Amino acid sequence: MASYLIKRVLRSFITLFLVCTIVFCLLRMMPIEGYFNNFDKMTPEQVERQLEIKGLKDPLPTQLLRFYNELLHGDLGNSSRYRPGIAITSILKERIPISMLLGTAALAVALLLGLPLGRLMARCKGRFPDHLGTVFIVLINAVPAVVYYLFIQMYGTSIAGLPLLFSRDNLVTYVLPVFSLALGNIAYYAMWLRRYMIDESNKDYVKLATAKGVNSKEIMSKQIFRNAFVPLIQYIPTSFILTIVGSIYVESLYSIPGMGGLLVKCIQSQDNTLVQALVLIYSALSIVGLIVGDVLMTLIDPRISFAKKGGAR
Amino acid sequence: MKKKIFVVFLSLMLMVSLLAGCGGGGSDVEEYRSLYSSDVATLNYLNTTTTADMEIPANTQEWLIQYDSLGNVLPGMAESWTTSEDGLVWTFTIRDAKWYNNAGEEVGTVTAQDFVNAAEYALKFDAAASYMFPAAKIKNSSVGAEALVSGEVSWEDVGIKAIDEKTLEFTLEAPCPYFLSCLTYGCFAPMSADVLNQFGDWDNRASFSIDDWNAFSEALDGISCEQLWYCGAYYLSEYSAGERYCMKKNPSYFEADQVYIEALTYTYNAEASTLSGEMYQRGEVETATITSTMAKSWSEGEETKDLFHPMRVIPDYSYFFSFEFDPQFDAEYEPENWKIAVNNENFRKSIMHGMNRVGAIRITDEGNAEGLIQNTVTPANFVAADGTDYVDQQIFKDLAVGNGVDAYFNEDLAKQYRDQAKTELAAAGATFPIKILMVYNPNVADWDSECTYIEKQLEDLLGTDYIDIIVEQGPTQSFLSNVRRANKFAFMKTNYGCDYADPLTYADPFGEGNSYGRFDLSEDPATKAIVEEYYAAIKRADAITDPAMTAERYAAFAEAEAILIEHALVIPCGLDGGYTAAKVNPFDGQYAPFGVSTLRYKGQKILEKPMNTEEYNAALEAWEKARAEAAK
Amino acid sequence: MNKFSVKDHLSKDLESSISEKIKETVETIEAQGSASAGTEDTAGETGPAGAAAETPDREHMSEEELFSFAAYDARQSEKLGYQEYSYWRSTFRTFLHNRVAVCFLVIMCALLLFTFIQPLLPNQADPNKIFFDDNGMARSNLQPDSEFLFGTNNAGQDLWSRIWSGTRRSLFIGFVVAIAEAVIGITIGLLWGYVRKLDFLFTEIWNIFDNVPQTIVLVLLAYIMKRNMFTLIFAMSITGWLSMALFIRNQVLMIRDRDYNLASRCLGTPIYRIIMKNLLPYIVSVIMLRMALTIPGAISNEVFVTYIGLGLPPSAPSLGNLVNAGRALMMSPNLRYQLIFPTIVLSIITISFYVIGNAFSDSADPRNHH
Repeated sequence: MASYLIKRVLRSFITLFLVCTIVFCLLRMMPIEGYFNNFDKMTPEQVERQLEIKGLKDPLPTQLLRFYNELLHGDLGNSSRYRPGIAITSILKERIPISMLLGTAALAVALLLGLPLGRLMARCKGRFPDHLGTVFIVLINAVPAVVYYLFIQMYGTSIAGLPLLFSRDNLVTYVLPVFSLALGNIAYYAMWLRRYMIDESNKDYVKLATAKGVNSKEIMSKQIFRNAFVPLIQYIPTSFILTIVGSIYVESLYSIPGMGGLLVKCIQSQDNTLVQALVLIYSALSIVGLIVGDVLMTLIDPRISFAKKGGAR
Repeated sequence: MKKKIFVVFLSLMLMVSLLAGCGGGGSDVEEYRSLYSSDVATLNYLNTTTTADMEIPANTQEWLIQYDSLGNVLPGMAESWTTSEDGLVWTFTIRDAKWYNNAGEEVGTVTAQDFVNAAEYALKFDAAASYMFPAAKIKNSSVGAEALVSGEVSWEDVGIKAIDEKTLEFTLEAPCPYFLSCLTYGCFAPMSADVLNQFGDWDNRASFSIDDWNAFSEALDGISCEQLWYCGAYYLSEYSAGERYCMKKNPSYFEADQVYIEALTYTYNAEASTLSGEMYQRGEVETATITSTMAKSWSEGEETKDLFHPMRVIPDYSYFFSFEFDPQFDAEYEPENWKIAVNNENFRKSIMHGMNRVGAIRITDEGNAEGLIQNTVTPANFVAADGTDYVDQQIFKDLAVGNGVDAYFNEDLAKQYRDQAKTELAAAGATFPIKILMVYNPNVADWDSECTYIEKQLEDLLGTDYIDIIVEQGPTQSFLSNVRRANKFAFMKTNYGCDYADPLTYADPFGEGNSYGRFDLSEDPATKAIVEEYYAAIKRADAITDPAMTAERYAAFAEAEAILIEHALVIPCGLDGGYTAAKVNPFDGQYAPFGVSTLRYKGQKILEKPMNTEEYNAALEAWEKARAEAAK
Repeated sequence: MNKFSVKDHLSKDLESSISEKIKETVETIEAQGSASAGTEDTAGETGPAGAAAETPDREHMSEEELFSFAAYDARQSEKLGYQEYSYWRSTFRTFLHNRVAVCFLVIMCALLLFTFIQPLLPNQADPNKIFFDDNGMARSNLQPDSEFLFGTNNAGQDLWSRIWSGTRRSLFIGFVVAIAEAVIGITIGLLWGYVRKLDFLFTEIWNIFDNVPQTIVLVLLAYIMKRNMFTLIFAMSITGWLSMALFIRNQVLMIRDRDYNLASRCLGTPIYRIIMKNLLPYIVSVIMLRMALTIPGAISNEVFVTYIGLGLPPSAPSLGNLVNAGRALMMSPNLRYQLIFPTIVLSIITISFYVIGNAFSDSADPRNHH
């Protein structure tokens, strides 16, 4: 376990290093406007000078080395266009907590609603609740989120008499964004729990239990559910991280000052340094999510041993 | 199971709604709430020119002068000023005003040196709006940052000085009749040395190298609302980037009695254009952006038709069509052939008189095209002398050949010019049809439709055997530098924003080295002669600087502009229109087409109910009347 | 964004569950295979191996004497196989039992067909043509009527033809992405599985790339490259092949040395026959499922990319930019049709692919064949 974990973490560092390097090199090929606040008014000489000052004229390896050196000191550089002169770390510091909060809440709601729904569907396989749930899952997957989020916001607020926008102090404004964020995961957990539970119910141990006369409700909740839930556990950290990263639509609609909208904004303002920092952070987050997911799996399911697993997952 | 979920959900909702009771709660203060979608990039008002960034300083800082609602100059931070006999030295006496921090507490006194600080930073760093110093003809302001920093030109020799704590003196290179109107830009606002010292060793700035200035400026761009000081009608009480900001009325402001709105609250929303209309209807904001599509849809609804009105037309940005004389586009669009064509006056005139400009404007602003079209590059209501608006001068009336608001659209005339151009161009070796490359920016709403409209309209009228208009999508990023400045178009709608109250500002886009079609680079003798004539006329006009001879000055500029239009080097187009929904009367506010005046909320009141189109038109009429009255 | 990532994960999981299923299937088939081998023995058929088994002193024989390749005998193999069972016919039959899926299949085929014949129908407008009235005014935002079935948009263009043109474009993107993923994935997967020396290298590369979120790659590439269709296709295919390659590799490893394959090879079955009969049935179903899910995935990715401002320009209508253009008018109730029509078409396509894909994967599973 320990040696597996060490290997795993080491590999993640290599991945992160490679991703950073590739992104860094790719972004150097972008138009140079992305480094200046008022490029349109600058003369070519000024641009040249500024490029030199910012060290963008140095050979690529030198720049890369400097970047890693700064990174080791916890410095992601300064934003150049989105919010000129402000350290990226301080921009992120304001935004990560709020996304974390909403992400946690959304995950809780997703588990709270998604798991019972999946269980219900599995138990009533082929009957009305199952069909209804399937329709819900298919719809959530098929209708673009951009569209139904908008409908939820518009009709949700007008029916409940809520303000349209999010505000930090008003807890009631958290309900709709959190619910919207959770929708995708509710469908996800419900769908997979149903599927795994149905798969499990064909297994021999269930037949044994039935033969022994254990009542079917107990089999459902004590045995099938537990076994079926195991593969889903692995996904929880990733889905949590994805909720933080992936709330672009929801954050834009409800004016939530989180991480999701940031990527869009920095792309629209062509802020190369910020794009680079965000890609780094998002990749790091997703890698951490995968590791935590794997570790959770081993902790919960003793049958899984990583020693055998080797390279391929 | 299902019941359980329902119970959990219900109790969650209940809990949340109970909690909600504590938060929120309406306040009784006069609050003006709005959404914004272009984020504020920096609070450093000395180094920005964008409207989004200037909204805060416009309301929280005070400039030397201010304008009233009719556009007359009033004393601002300067109590009074005098001009020397030769018009070269302007001396301002600074009012006894204080600086306040973001809690509204007094932190210092505004001095003349504060204005000099701002200028020194702007010029030595070459800040975004520093081009306004040379525009105001301030002595030695055009030498460039490098010369100033290296000491080649001493700061002492630049024409901005604090004589004593309360006396500020500007020295000009030449008399500048529009000097006062230059003073309401970002870099003419004061900034205290105490603020600047937070970002570097400001007191030791004489020894700064270029690199030091850059580092200093980068730090200053990141200024927070706690670090900034305020001397205007409001102070920035709260600022959270990309989230919201709030300005509160400063009760100690010297004209606090003219500030009616107690607080201005702005909330960031990336989807403001989608949501603000709905929020406005629900009474959650006091203003909303209304696209022309929305306006049309709202005007059909019984409940919504009185909620909005046309946007106030301000002659700050003028649109015109530019011909490219130095084409750099791809060979497939035949740049050499285009060169022959564009240098033919009859060809240009056939386009100018053949184009239905009202129709083109209608694509973006259906209801108000007649009110937006302009027959000169310098728009109406921009400057006037002796009670006559610049555009109402006889010389422009003589150019008119059309009927109705469009002075140039005349189909028969266009066909005549086309026939002449055809023979002349054939003789010059041009091949038909002439390919005309029109490029649009996909980020600008409806520009593509407008180009398609022009293509269809002109080709239908003049024939596809004569012209072949090719509408092409330009790059989404850095459109200006990749298309207009790179001269990669044949014919394009362009625009220019005015900087000060003088027709000279609208001659700037056509000066030598401009990026609006480069007719200065034409090698054709006929075009060259016209261009030289135009430049000579501009020079002549700018030489008339006596304040008593404003009418003559404007007449001379009109003469120059008439050359451009008469020979169809440029085709005027119009102004920006649009619609807005707001619970304020725009005519209450300060007015000037340049500078920060129209961004200020001083003087504005929150109305009981939104202004509708009729009320707007009545208010507009009343305002125009009052303005004409005041001009007499 | 969340949703797409979920989807990505979803299909990955789906695949792993399917590969589990397949493992089981393989085992069943193997069991059946060995059973049939047993039948072979008891029936006393004389194969070379059987003959050798009866020879008492086989230990002293050389390998050539013990084993030699048999000539392929079609008649024999027919006898040994299941005459009654055709994999594809069963798959098809099982699929037809799923009435919902068949219904969606019909809808989707009709839709696909219509998308392609629509431009050939009479009275169809060019999707970029602006309609003008007699006064030279663009006929913008007209409600749906008999002339413009879906109304016109802001610019006065026919929404009907724009939607079909957009559907064509979006489906094209989806298909190309799906095919690219399949081609790259299968090629790399085969190399990975067959060439043992490459296994370590490919495994490490895969481990590295699989950790990078697809959304980020998509956004980054769309940001760096020019805004056009090729960029979108490229950015979407560049990550999609990874899981396909892994799947193929695992299958190759698993199947290559299976006893029944060894047996087939011993029996002299030609490689193509091994591939067609032993390998393809369960790989193809998963490949098809993946491809079917890739298409709606590509469409929703395109909606997302357009939303963040990196999508296709309005002159190239696609479902992504039509939906986003419609969103801007959401708050004007009488213009909402501009959002609803493209959304409905998009949803029908997505649901169809989704339902059909799943139904197909179910029916491709031999355990569900009766």
